[in-house]
Amino acid sequence: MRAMAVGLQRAAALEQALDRLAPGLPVDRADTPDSHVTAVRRLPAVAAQYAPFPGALDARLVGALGSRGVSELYTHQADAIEHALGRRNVVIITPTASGKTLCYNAPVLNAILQDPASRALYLFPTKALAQDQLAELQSLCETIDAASGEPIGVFTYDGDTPQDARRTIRSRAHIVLSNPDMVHSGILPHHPRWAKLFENLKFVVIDELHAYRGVFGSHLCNVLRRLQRICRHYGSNPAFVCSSATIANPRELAERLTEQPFELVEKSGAPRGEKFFVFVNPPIVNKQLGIRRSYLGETRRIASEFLKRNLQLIVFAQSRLTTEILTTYLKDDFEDVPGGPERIRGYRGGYLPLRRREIEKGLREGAVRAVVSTNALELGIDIGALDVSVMAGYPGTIAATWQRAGRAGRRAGRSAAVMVASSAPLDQFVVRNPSYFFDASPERALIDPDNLHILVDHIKCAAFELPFTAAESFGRHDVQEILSLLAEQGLVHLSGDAGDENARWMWTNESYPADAVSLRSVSSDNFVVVDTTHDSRVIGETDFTSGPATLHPKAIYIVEGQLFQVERFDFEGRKAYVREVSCDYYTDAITYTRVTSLDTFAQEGVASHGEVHVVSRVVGFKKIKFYTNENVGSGELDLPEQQMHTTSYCLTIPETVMGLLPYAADDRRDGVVGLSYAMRQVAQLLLMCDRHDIGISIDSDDTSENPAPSVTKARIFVYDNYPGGIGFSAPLFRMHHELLDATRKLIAECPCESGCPGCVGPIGNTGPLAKIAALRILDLLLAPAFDSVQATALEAAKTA
Amino acid sequence: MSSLADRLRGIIKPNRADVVERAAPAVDATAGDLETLLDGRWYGHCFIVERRLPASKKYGRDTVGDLAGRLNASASDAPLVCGTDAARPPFVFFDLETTGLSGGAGTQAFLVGCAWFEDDGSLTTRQYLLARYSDERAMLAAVAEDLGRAGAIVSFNGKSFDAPLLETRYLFHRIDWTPSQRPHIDVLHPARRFWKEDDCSLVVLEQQVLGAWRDGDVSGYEIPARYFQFVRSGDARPLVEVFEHNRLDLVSLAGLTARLLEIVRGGPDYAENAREALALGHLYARARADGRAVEAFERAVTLAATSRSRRASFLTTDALRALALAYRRARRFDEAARCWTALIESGCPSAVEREAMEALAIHHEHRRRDLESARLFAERNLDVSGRQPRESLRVAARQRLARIERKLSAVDSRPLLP
Repeated sequence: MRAMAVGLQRAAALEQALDRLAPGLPVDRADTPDSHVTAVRRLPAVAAQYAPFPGALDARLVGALGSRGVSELYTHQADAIEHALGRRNVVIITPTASGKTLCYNAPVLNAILQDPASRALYLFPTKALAQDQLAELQSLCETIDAASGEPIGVFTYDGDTPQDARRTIRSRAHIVLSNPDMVHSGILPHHPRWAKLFENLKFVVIDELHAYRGVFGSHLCNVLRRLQRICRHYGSNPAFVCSSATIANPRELAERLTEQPFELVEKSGAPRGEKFFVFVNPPIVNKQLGIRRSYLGETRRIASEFLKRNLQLIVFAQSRLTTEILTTYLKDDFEDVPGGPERIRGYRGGYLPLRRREIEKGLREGAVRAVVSTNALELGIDIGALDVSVMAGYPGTIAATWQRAGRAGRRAGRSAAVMVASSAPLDQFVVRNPSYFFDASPERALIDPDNLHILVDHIKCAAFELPFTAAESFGRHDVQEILSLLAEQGLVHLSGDAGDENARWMWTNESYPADAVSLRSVSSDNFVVVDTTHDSRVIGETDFTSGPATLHPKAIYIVEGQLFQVERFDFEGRKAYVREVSCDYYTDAITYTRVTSLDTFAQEGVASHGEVHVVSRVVGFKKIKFYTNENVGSGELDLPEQQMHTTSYCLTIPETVMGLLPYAADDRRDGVVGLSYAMRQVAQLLLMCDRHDIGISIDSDDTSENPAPSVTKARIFVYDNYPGGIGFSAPLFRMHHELLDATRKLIAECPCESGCPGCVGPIGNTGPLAKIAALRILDLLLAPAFDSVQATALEAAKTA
Repeated sequence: MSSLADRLRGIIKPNRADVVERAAPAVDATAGDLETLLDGRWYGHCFIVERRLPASKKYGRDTVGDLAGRLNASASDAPLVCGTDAARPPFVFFDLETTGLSGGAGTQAFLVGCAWFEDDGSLTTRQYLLARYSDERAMLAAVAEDLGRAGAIVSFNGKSFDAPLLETRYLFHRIDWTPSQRPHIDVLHPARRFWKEDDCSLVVLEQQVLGAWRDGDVSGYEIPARYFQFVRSGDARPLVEVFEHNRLDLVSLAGLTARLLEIVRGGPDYAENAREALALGHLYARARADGRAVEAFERAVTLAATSRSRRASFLTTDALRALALAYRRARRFDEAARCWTALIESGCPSAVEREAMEALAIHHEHRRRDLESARLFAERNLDVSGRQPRESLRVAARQRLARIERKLSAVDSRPLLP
């Protein structure tokens, strides 16, 4: 009775808050791109669809599930279990809270009950997710043991597992819960000690499949190549069961990652409560400059409305910095409420595990009323069912947006998701075209497991684990040729003649190659943040690539709204020493990037695709005032460069085109800068990738220090932001015409007069003619006659 | 040259160690080279180098025959060192040379050295070389046979390094690792206690304990590179010194084991100094040979008193404390109390002083039933405990004193007249 009353109260509170945001709810309405609330969609409640247990399922398992209240299955669970029982690889698309774990636990436990020698390996993208699953699975196993006397060992095995427990786990675990990193560096290189597991491996479960895209996915594919190679050595052939959030190509991703055929189960039978999805565009405050009210302020206002009505919510921010800023804002709003600020928490990567566990628990138990998080809480960490999810800025991809919206919602009862658009072009495009989001298919997850940097690293690891034969293949490239080159460096040696079937590539090096390879990034390096205010204690960490930009000297480092200033940045020692400060600004690093072309793979007209060298360096920082976002100062920095080779799309704006622009050199340059700003956003949309997956750089011969009188060509690079490239630049090159068309549309249709953050960038960044010059460049490049213009130009260049 | 190769060259960066190694001249060699250089023979797929040191041969201060004799005479006390009753002759000494220190499937034992004493007092060393990758299985099978007939296998740091590494190789080939069933004496741990705590390497020990010196020994970190050089070129010259290094390690291991068992067998009189006597006492105590432990500790106390070692005072403290505990275990309480008293008088570190005060308080409270003295020690115990970081110790000290005082006041409150 009481629960029901609470439920009704909550529904009423939610209705009130939504009504304040968009009066007249709840009803479906047409989209209104120009108003404050551009779209409201009602996703109706869906009733459950059930199916009986497959007949082949072990009676002891069915009994144990029954005693835990599971007397029938949702249809998608039954389908998935049928496939797995038939030893067909299966990938399941699962909305949040649809009972995905049973899809893999049932066939795995069934196999163990039928043959206690059977083993299974579960992979989760993070240690925390594995811990989260452990308790549930162990308790199911205890029920089975109590009823049928079949003890089933379930253990996590990761970097936190104590050394003395490892031997026991190796011999006693039927199910090992681990992560790709541990399999890569802790299990595969020691496979002889795991012989029992590899000989009897029946299932490999990959949870949160969609997390494995880009670099991480490309690494995982290679880890799975190694895993399957070891399984063949021990004579086993495990089936794969994968679960994924909604992406466009789950089956393709599963098949690319495992290099095996897959069945797809995509229709959920789980019930779902009613949900409202609202798009908010902060109103324009200066039409001329195209400036909108701050999206962070708007997010803060909306979140406070929900909080005031005692609804529990999660706020997603785009970066670690905005997470901290929003946490500070919300705590300020509830400063006068006793205990208010303490119940509003921040959450992001870089917090120490204990603090994270405490916040997760607080959310589940209701003590924490609001959490402001980066994408760290997007994956399936159990934080219970919340009432509202508010997104500060468009998360960048359709899949991520649904995933974040799904963190609010109960099986029964009403929930809401609100997306507040920032002034970035991509956000503006989505918020003004809601059907792009609601009706389009989500993104494709791309990986490039044959990126040579990644592939070579894993070939070293594979050679250490099991010598290659002279006939073996591994990936798309010729592994024998790669091994020959590794032999030149003394890492391997062919023992026997190449034609001999007993010939093997021996590992002839003292090193342990897996130690030098991190699956998450370019290097396994990180920086730790040491607070020296009282005594020395570590309060956080940052990965190597973003270290200089966030921990440079004088940077403001924020942890849950508490401000620290970096006093000393020890680049060599990988440490930043900080001290608590009280100030009213934060810092934003200025990074200088230079790209040089190394090699061209393909060229078509003004577009090309090739290999580039990228050098980036943090050269300074801006001080930005909280709330007003005023620039209140700056500083110069002298930090080491970071370098990489990667692949890039390149647009060349020929001299002829530049020469046809009726503007001064500075204005022409502004046009190129503005064009690149807009192109970057459109490229991200077309590639459906994350903001940090690509980088942009302009290479123009006339620099501002030395304005050349003559007209020169300019080049815009859109590069893969990972060493070796990760498969974005080639598709972008193929979409070259779409890219230019859509960029033109974005700029031309923007209501501002001469440039704004929604098209070519804010006026302060570019000159007054940026917008018109950018449009002019695009018109010239897109003109049907351009090919001949270009041809003439090339001729002229040759004769000159 | 293909473009793949070009791109790979940019990615696969040479590492410095390999450059150094490749700078050495590589000479193509025939199989005969291996046999003549190392003076070994092929047995099927196994390349074996076997040597015999005659009993009359001098090794350090003693002859090989002497070492064999001592080992023979003391063999029955091996269980005291090993911890399992099953340890018995024949002893097979073993030592590996490996392709790396990190372990894992890609680390191999390329040289397995085994040694044992013959009945005539000579020492046989047998070294197996992994000459070709495809021979590993055959090599492991042959090694298992040698080690399998051992009554105990003896190593230096083998429990943490050599045995697990070898076990991984057997698991890799899915052959039973029978030597894991054999009793294993790891000489490193007793050697630390008997002879040297810091830099307890074989080379240091053989000089100090056996009086043996090596010339031009190859250093450990060079060994994997020398093997890789042989693998790539077929030139066995870099291996000659590796084989000699491994062989000397085996001989020294045999010598140290003989000396160790001699002391264990002979008892306190065979101990040359306080340190050996003390280590011996601990060894007996762990093996529950309480009577022998007491004798060894008594000898340690005596030797420490006359020791000119700069560690003499530490040795005195350790020996007295060990002796006190040994007496107590043997229920020789008054002698134990005398040791604790001597400890306090010797000006020992405060942690030991606290322990001594506590032991004396207990002794006077429960054994002697002398509550006044008990209170005195309990007070001093509390006093010293105040300097200890552990809270539980201070609590225990307070409680003891309070209890003794309660007992004392109970004594006082009896009516004067019945």
